[in-house]
Amino acid sequence: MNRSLKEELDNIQTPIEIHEMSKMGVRKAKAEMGTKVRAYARRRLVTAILAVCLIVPTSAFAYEALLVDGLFGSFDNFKKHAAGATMEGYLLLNAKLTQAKGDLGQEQFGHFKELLKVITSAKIEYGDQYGNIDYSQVPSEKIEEIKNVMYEIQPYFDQLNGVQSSKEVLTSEEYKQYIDALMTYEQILVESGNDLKNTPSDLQDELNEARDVLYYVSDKQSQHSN
Amino acid sequence: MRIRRLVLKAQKENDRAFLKLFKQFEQDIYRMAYVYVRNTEDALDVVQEVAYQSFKKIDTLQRPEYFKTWLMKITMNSAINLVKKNKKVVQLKPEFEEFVGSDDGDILLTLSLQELMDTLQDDEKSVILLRFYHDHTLKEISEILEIPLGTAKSILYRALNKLRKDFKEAGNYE
Repeated sequence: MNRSLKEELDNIQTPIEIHEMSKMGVRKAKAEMGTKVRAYARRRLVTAILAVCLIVPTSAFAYEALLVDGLFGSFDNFKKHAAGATMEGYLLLNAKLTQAKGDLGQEQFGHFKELLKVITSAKIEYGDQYGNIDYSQVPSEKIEEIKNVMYEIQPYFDQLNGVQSSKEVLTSEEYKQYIDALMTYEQILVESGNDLKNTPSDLQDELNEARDVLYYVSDKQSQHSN
Repeated sequence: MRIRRLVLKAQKENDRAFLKLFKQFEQDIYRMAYVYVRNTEDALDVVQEVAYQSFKKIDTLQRPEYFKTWLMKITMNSAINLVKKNKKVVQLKPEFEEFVGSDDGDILLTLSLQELMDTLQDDEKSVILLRFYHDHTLKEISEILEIPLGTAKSILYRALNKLRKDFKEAGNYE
């Protein structure tokens, strides 16, 4: 029985296309596995982008955000949680973006996103571990580009923060000073290791000046809100 | 061992290593499948399905040395599923089938194999194939098919009775 069945089974001729069928099966599996991997990579990418987006507001939003110790603690700390994106941070960003979409309208939101992208990529390329850009390391034409984007994006941040547009309440000269102050502030944060108490003494005056501008703008904005 | 090395590579989603490995067993898979589905086209479909399923799930195989047994299990399940699926499809009337003729040019099978395919139920085919084609013990068969040892035994006896051959042998394979 044993032997005869084996012989008989071995006598079943196998068609030549058999290996092609195996290949097809593997190809199909691979395609599906690839989708799974790609989907996973996409999710990771989205999370990473969300993480960076969350950093942007902490320094690019008006001075309130700058004066608190960053909405999410240090950039390093945040990065640790970036894979799972802290629920709090995620919800906050989500709310901000939903709000942006609702408040700004489709076209404006698209514009906002474009601007944000420039800032985000600058943060990735030049930001330190806290997400602050060291402008002394950035090529001058890039600084100009970032500056121009900041001119345009700040009103959106103001809107998201629920305050009057800084661009509207300030004269154009004051508005330029404001953007410069934001950038100076960020630069000093880099030089002080993200703790302004450690600001080098030669930068103290610059810091005070920048702070004055930020306070001034804040006052202006709250006056117009009342 | 070569198989072990290829399995480990395949588990890292290396499709070339997997195909190299799979090629060694695809004829066995085809023949096993043929016993259930009884035609070339469906047997080839089973080969494709087994390649698909096994590559997709190879990371779940904990012991590479069981690769062949694992493949055979997938083969039997795939073949039985296909048979069940085909049963749901309305069959051609015999006379019409005869008129159409058999164009798959399948080999002339010897009587006992033909008998095996014609007379046995799917679970009986599984036990017979594992026992006599792959030389597994009844205990191993019960593990592969996830059935109690007693059930494996009774299926084997029943199958052998049906085949009316070598009854005595059955008692010796435990």
